[in-house]
Amino acid sequence: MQMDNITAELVKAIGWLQEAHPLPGKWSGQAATRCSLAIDELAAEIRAADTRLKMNLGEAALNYLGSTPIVALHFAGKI
Amino acid sequence: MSDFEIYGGDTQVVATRQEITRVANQLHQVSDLLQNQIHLGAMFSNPIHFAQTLIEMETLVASINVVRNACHAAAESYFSTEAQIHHIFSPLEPIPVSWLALGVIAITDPMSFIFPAEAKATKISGSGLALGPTNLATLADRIKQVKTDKPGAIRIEEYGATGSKTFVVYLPGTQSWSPIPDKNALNLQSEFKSLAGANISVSERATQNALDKAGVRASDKVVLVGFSQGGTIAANIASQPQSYDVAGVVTFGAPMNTVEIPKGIPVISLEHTDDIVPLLDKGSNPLTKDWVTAQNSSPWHLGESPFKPHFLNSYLVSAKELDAANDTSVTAMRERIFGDFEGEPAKVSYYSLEQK
Repeated sequence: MQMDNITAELVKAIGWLQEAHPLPGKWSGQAATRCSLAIDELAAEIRAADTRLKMNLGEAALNYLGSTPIVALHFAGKI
Repeated sequence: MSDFEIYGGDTQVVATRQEITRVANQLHQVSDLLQNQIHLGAMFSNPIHFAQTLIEMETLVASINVVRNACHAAAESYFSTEAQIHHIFSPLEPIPVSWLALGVIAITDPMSFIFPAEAKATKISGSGLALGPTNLATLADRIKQVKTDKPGAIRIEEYGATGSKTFVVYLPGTQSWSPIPDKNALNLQSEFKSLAGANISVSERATQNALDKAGVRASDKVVLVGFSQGGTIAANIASQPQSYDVAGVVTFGAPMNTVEIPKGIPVISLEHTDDIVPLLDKGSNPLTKDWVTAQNSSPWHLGESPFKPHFLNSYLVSAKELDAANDTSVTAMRERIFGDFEGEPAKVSYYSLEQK
């Protein structure tokens, strides 16, 4: 449930980032272009973070369920 | 040679502080949104995920803050002069110079709001021929000549024999410093009135009268070149719809920032950073493709007049240095304004600006 919420919020963050792009005619030039590229990179970073969070949460969930050998052994009282 | 700080005029570069601030604020909102994803409650219910979220969000927020700070740095770099002037004039902050000027007029000459003094231009002797200016120093030198040789007068050059013509008007600065206005329309009262806004000062109305008498028609172009009060008159005329086409403005040592010159009119402003007069508007000129501002400091030595940075001679020296600097933006803007008639012959006439 929490994971879904975060994803939705990250989508919102990416949407807000798109709105942050400098508007041509109000700010243009090399600095504005660099700023725009940096904003695109930030959006890519957020997407990557979202992917990592989902993937790692899945692994963690498996750990909690005792799917990994060490945790399974722990839960089995073997160590 | 002085080092010039030159901004504007590059077609690739446009910047407004409001837009950069908007971008930075938008990034701030995104940063807040991401930080709000870190719920302390999750530390106990789902500690691994909490740790992951904490690491990811903090990294993202740090990256966003880098871009935000870069925006602020860009704004300061673009508009650093504004920041300096803002600091200098902080005690006067709430009162724009136009209001101050209106206040002075209201105290010294309140009746002029109801019964404005009559403005008149009279053609005077000294007509001749000249060649179209090829550099900024020539412009400053022609203002100096008219100021020296024909006090109280402006110079008008007429280019083109048939069809659409171009007129170049040279406007000197304040010449009469008496608090009681005399016949010379370039007086102290006009100085304040030109700072207060367009269509108020006698000198500006007399200049319009001179243009009428010079035969400027709706199809003609007018380029305005002014020093000090003359620069303010030029900006005021350019800011208002005219029956003719204002094709360019060049100013030396004039406060311009508060005058809104329409897009498409090319402007060159030369200002000394140690000259109090162009600082009167408390701000930097807009950074647009139509407006080039060149700033430098004027050499000043102990024992010299504190107003030396505002002297026309000082601007003449700087104009020569600016020409020699061959700056791309300045050259492009100069060619945009004067390119059609550089080196072309012109009829020259002089008009005395009078207050009655």
